[in-house]
Amino acid sequence: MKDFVLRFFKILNKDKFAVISGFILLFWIIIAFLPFMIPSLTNIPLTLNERLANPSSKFLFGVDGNGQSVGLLIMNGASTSLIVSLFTVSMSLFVGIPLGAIAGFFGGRIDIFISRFIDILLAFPPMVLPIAIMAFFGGGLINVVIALSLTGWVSYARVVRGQFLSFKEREFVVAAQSLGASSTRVMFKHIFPNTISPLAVQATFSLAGVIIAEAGLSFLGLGVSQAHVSWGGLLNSARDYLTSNPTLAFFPSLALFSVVASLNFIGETLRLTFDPKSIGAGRM
Amino acid sequence: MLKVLFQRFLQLLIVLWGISTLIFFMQRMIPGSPADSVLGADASEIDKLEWLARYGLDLPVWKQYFYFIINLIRGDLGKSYHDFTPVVEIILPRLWQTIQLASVAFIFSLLLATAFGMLSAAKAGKLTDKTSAIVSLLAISAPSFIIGPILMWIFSVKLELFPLFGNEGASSFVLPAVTLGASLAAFSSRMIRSGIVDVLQEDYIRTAKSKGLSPIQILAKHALRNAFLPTLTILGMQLGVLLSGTVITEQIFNWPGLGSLVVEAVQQREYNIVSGCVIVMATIYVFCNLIVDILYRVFDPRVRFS
Amino acid sequence: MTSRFTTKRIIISIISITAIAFAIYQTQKASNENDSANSKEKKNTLSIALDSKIQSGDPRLIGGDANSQYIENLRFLPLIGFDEHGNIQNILIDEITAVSNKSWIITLKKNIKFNNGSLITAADVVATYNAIMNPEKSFPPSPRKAAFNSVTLFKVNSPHEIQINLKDPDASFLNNLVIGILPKDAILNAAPNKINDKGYESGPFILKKTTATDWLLTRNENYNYSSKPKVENIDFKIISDSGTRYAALIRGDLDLVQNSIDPDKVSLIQKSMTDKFQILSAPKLSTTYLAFNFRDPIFSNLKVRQAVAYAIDRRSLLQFRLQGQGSLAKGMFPPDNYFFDNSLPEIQYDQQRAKNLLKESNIQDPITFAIKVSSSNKSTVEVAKAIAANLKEVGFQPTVEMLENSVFLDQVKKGVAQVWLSPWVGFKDPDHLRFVFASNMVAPLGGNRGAYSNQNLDELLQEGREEINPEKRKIIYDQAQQLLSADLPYVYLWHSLNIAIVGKNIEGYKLYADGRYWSLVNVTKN
Repeated sequence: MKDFVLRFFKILNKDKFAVISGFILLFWIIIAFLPFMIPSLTNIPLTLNERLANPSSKFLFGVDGNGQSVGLLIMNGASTSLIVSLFTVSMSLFVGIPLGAIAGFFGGRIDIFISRFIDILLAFPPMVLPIAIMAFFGGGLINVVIALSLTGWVSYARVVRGQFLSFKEREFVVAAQSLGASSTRVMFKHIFPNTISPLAVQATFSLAGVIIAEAGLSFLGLGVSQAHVSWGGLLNSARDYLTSNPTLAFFPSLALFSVVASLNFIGETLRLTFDPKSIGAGRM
Repeated sequence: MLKVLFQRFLQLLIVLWGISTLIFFMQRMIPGSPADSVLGADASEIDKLEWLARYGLDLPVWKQYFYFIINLIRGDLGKSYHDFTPVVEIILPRLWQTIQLASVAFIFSLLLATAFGMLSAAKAGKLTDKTSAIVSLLAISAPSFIIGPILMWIFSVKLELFPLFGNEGASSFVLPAVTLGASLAAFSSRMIRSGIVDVLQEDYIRTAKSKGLSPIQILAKHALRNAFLPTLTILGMQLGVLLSGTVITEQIFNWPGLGSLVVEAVQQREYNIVSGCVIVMATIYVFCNLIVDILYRVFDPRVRFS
Repeated sequence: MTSRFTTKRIIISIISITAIAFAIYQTQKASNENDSANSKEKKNTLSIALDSKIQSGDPRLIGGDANSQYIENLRFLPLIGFDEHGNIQNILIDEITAVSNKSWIITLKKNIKFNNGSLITAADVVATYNAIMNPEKSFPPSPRKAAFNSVTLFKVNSPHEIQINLKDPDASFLNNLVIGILPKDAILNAAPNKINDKGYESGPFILKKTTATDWLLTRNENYNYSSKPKVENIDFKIISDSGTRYAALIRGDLDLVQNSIDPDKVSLIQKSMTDKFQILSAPKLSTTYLAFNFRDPIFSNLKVRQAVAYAIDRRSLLQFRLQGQGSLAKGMFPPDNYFFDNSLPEIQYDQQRAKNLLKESNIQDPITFAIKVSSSNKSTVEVAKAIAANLKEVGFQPTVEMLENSVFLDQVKKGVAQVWLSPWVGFKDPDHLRFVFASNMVAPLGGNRGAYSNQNLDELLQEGREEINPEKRKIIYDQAQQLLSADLPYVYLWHSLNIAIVGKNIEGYKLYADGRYWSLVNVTKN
């Protein structure tokens, strides 16, 4: 692990983009936490007579069609994105790791069963499953998390399964088994640590993926309910004003883009740290 | 080879069965009945029951499922509830639109990716390569609902170069195809680059070079072909994703494809259309993967048929 | 090693240039082709944007979908229609004689023809109506069946005379005769939705082509109900995104957009683009309201309902959010309606009073609830957000829950929603009040979704349904409306307007109260 940390900082030292990304991400995390610290920030007043005002000293980022400050909306949107992405990724990890480990370690029928199920979920047209789920449960923060986790765990399960498959026949595992270590012990003590690094890379990229997916759902009008602000929802409302007030779409776009890009850059750096030979470009 | 193909085909059937089953039960669980959508919210219960009975929707769910599967095996996807048109007749023209758009986007991204991939491979480690890495990472970070409206605003609203909506001839393809293909292009250019770089370090390339082959010959004869294999896999899968994942782009550009049909149909509780679309999309996706798999084996006999 | 690949740049450049050239070539080719072929056709074609899909073109299958009804109006003549003000108007009917309050004899106009040349007769009318009442086995039940639930008989008395008998008296029944008439031949032979290109149409326009995004109508050359239309083709374009509709209009891709441009854009056009467009506006049969669920102990409390009513700043909402495009509502009927009652009190915005009422209601806990709203109409969602902000200021704790339309209706009808925001649109007869408030009309039987119940009102509304004399009906419905405005089962917000934005080169377009496009018959494009 020490090696990784060292190499990470070595790469960081050369890779200014990752450093900048880190600062951008930190900035957004602070922004996202502000509404939790200061509850009055979640109550965004309507100033109907200033609707659609352009950015000014009073409203730095302009005012939307409802007379609400775009700056405050983006801030609240940041907390929504943060909550949704963190919860979705943890839920996905929570489901994906055990299923992938079981499939990879035990193989046989249970592996076939889990793998086919993964195939089914993967062959589902993207967005259709979340759309159907959102229609079923209705909008809402928890429902978005459920909808996105239901398909999200698949990628982790695949990563973990792959790692378990390749590691279960390595000498040190076989040795541990022949010394009488139980399956659970082998799984957790010997193989699992090796899955952490690819999982970390995967998780970073999928944090970005989830933020995009949540915004996409809200963009289609199916996301978190109106009680929560979503960047996708802001973009959806802003689309109506694209011809008359293009600035309205600009700041939410910038916010979303900067977070996603930072996560992708950091993910890329992590990938280089763990697997210096690979050169990819993020996860699709 | 045949045995493997047969196995693959069997797996494919299982996946399709799973998908149809999933979408079938999911739709029956969603609140709101198609009777409400067709007859209007205020229709009387008696009328609704009669209407549901006409479509067999009053039966117990397991019976409905039984008929659904039987009809599916016979290739019958049912009829639209709103205008009684067979679902196949509704889906086919929409599918054609989506295929057109996805193919254009695919070709666009392939051209772009090859050009940039080769360029960065040639300059591996240099500024060009680094810039292209950063640009592609940025392109991947911009989702279609950001790129789409921006392109639309610049090229359709301000410059009036392209049509605003729908499919009105070749020029309509440009903006949606760019929106759809941008991240794919970025992604595959990196794949091609790393493929070429790997190949260029192989021994046989060095041999070729020492034989005095020109760089272009080396690239064309060996490097590109081998770099293409891993890329092919990704691209094949992506073609499937492209074909089935155009929902948001189609919404933005009012494209009359399958993606917008699905969204519409879910909202109107058109069970038959939704399941029809999902099954068609999934079939395409699964077949794309299968074809890639076969191609991969054809190009690279080293891969064992397992 | 890499330095030896400089030649590759050339390849790359060639590929890129070819790609770009190809793209440009394609665009140019397409635009050239379009220009020469389309310029002539464009002059004779009127492009109109619709905001959602046209569900069906077959009068037997059309249900509540307004866009389908609009197209039906242009293609198939019905017995009755509605004029600009929403008043009933004879179309195929020459004369109606009421035999009793349950029976009518209708004489049809002679000489009016279908596109295939045959005359429209009583047999066609009765065949169409019977097909809707009792469809054949191979046919889906018609969504319009409910309109004829009380009919006992449609009878052909002579080639141009029809008799209709009802089970119970129903003064509003004639409003149901809006269904486009198909030839008897079509009823017998045409499969569902297979009625195009067969000369079955009788209206000013016939259907030429449909695609997923366009419905192209063309002039009916055999049309003889009124003068023939002047424009040759009408292209109804389905554009679901309102921003795109606006951009297309501004670019000149559209000639006419009705009721589907946001208030903000309308006022923008009004301010800066009057040289290119004219804006028509007229009252509309539409009432937006906030409704309460009487099953809920909190909202069955009159004081709470009053507090809500006083807390909403309807005037500012209308002025700013809707840019003044509507009129404040005092009751269900808009001011130009015959049954509008001018003496109804208007509820003034009064925060202090709302707070006091809330205190008097003796409810200690903070009142938390969700205002439910359908996601199908973006501007209603925005209004709901603003109302929630208003209510927060006097001490309620509302959230806005946006639901997909089917789910919204499901919840509202099942009585799950406590408070919801929605419009009633297109009701043509005051009997609508019975449908909405009578205690025997609690959903799913009717439109009384909040389970409101008031015996006095029930009696009045039944009386109104059975009365045929319009003056007497008016007196009855005035009383009913007074009762409702005191009891507040709804907080009425506003009546929106019909708004059409028409290119300056279009002449003769008029708005109809129910939004129909009938005036296209008289429109010319220069």
